[in-house]
Amino acid sequence: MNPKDIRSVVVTDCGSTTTKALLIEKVDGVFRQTARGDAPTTVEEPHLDITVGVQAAIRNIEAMCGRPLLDDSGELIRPFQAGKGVDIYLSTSSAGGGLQIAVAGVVRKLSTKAAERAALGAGAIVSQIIACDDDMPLHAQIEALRSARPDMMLIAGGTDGGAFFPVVEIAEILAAAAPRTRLGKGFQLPVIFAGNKEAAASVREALPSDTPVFVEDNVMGTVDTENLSPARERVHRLFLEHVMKQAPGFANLAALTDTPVMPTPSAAADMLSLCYEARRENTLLVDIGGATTDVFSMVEGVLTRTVSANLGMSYSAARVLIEAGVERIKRGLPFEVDDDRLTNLVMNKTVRPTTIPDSVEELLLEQGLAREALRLALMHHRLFAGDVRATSGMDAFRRAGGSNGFSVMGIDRIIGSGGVISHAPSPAHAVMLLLDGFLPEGITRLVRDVVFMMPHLGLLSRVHKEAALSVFDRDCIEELGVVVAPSGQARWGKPCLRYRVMETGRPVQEGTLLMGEIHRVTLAPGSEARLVLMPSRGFDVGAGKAETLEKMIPGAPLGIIFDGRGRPLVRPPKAIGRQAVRGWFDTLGIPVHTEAAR
Amino acid sequence: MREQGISSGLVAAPSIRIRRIRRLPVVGETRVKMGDWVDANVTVASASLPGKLHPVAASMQLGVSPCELQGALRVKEEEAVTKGQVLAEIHRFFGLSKAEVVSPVDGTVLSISPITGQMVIAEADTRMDLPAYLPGTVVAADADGTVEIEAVVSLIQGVFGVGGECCGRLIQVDAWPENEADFRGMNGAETILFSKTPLTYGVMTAMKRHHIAGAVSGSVSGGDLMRFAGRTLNPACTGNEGIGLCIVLTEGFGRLPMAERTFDLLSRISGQSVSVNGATQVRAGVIRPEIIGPPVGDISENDPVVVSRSLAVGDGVRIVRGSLFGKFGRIQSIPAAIQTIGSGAKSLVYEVDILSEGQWTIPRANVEPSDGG
Repeated sequence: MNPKDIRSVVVTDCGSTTTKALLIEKVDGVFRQTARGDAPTTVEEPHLDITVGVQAAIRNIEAMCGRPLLDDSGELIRPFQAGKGVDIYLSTSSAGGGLQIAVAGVVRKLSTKAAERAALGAGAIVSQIIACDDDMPLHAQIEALRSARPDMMLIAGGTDGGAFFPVVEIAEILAAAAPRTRLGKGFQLPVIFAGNKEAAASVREALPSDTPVFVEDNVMGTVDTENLSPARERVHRLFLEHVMKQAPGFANLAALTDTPVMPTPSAAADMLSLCYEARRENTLLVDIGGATTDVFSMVEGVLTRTVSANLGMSYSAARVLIEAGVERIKRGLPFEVDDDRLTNLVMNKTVRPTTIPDSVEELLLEQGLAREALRLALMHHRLFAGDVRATSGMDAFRRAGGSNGFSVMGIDRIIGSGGVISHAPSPAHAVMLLLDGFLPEGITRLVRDVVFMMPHLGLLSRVHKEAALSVFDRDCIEELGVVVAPSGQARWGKPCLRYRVMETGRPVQEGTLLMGEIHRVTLAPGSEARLVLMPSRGFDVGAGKAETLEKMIPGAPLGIIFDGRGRPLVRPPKAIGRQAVRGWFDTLGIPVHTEAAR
Repeated sequence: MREQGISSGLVAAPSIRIRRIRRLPVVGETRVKMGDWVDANVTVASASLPGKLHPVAASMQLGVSPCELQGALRVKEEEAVTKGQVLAEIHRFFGLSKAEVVSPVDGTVLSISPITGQMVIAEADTRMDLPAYLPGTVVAADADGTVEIEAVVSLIQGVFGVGGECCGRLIQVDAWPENEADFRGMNGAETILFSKTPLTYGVMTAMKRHHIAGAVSGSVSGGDLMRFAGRTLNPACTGNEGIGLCIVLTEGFGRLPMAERTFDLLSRISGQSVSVNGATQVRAGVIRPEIIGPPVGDISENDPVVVSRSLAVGDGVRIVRGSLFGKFGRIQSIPAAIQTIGSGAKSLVYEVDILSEGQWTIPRANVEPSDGG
């Protein structure tokens, strides 16, 4: 269909937990999101068909907008005519689960570690590691590999022109072990080889002839450099294809859509690229879903994407608890909670992933988990947004920023997306999640995707860019507030920043931010102010240490949030720990009473 | 307006026709044929599980190239060897010096690589016999060890389980056995216990010590379970933990009471042989733990199996989250508009009249269809 003729579109995103449908229509000459509907994703018995949830979500849209979109047999009415149906239907998907990868290399701390990092950076769970120099006997490692039943293998080892025989031996062992995948017979275990390029042909020969083998650049071509991107991208591509196509009913969905079904993260990345084209702002986008957390950064025109397949708010909730630990989660809460209570809540959420918190206490506990998922996801993203360089010596590595180094100081805007952020009860809740999860530095605008539609719009942009941007500006994003966070540390209670907020027609607001404090200054949406920042010695807000910075900033519901908790974070003294956290919640206006509402 | 929401409840059916696929982890041999009746403990398929592999860097150990190794070999591929047997040897200095490579285990020479000079010795295969798991009729049987069995059974699904499969006699206990005296008279390996009372670390440890095959409860504390398992568990995917006890939870984690309906059904099959599988997978390809027993009553096509259905005013529901977990109620109204719930967030809700608790506003996501208790 000619984009000029499009008047009405339904776009769905089939997530791990929820299928979300949007109705986008031309209203008074501009495209707006006019209705939306959710339903549980139906990849489970008895339905085992993703399109059942799609249909339910679209039925909910019908109920909202009061006009028929599906006919009596449940088919989408196309084209839009006489107030019924839509012109086109598009869908993204990330339903189906995560990727488990086994990694093998020659030296545990070198090539194997590099391969592990490549796999993690692509968002996989590393289910088994095999190394020739591991303490565990090789036969035990092989047995563990057989039990692990990975979805793919990544083999590394040998610098280019270096070790040859050990690398081929690994392939021979793999061939002998013949590990089976989770997906059972009929699905061959793909093998990615990213080791000594001179061994590639022999590795291929050592593996069974029906094994899909992908040869990528060596993750460690020389002993002092790593090149993870090619292997990581291959893992990532296979991951997306694997996740998508294993969702029950995927073929049915593909038959319904007017364009190919797109992986959710790819669609979100497309929208981010489109936004950068329009505004030239360095942006960090996070999409925290039920099974995965995706982080995208668009910095100076370079897009980097990491998918943390083991961090999420429903299926992966328990993994967040395991990785972060109970103590870290409790540390960020404004009230005391029993370890068991927290553990049970998270594990119950994992086994009943579609339930939602219906009390303040449970909400804040889940948001505490979300903060840790964000923190860990950003850690993964930081690790892989740039290259890692070794100093001399076999076991010492030093991370070098270089032209690809990643720093939150350079980020102008953070967009939060995903149910726990988008559906947080208030802008203040969403701010606290992004603030604690990402610890922005300098001056950063916090924004959320209120109806979780970045993936939808990214997909729509492939068909109609103008429509996607129109809906993004008018209906998608909600400005939350501007965070000013000086980087640096000092003793608790010491000054770290003086500030002045000058809004036309209003008295100047001034203040001194002490270490450990959060201040909030009102600056209403639609207004703007000149901000003057004077960091204390040792602190930097973006212009250099102790250098004054002036900037015009827009208003938002939470106004300006001055975060003086230090970067890196300075923990409050033990005696006032919980009280300090409670104070931050109070400053942002987040209720923390724990009485359940009727 | 009739709600079109889909709620994925768990099954608790006194009499239902089911099919289960029994599949070997490797290609094997099917022992039954279509139409055969099988008991739960009958072997339906068998396979040889490959023995452990022991790589031997023969070339490297002898200090010769892979080509030179060929002349030093004393065994060939597919030859049986014993532990300590010479696999390859070379003589140097006119026979004055000898270097040899010996087999680390009893096994078979699986491969000798001409590229790397590596040998792989495989221990003997172990035989695996796959039981039917449930009594029923074979309705499909592949040649390579995949069998499908159909039966009319009573079926109770749990929300979480660990520990794989077990079969045995289902016995109700009011309090979990923990002391020696409590276990007197129990044939542990053929006993599966169930109780309304939540499990604890001490109880699980005692049952494992007395080789009880399985335990079915409403709940257990997550911390206790991980302490018992000896490691962190991801509840999203279980089944091969090897923790010495098959556990099925019907409600979840904490101190959650078993649903009356579930307990009632278990009570009706108490004393009889059941099959239990604790494997759980929450993601796509969802697997829920289950207890399968003899059918109770006649199968009915209209049997109200609680799987999923549209909900309407008057329908029964069970609350599965929050302070009202486990309570049963009836839907009084279904507001079309999104409401603000206790957390401050907005959600579609049901107004539910909960027995002895009055009327409550419950997020639609937090209920499961139920016919009572």
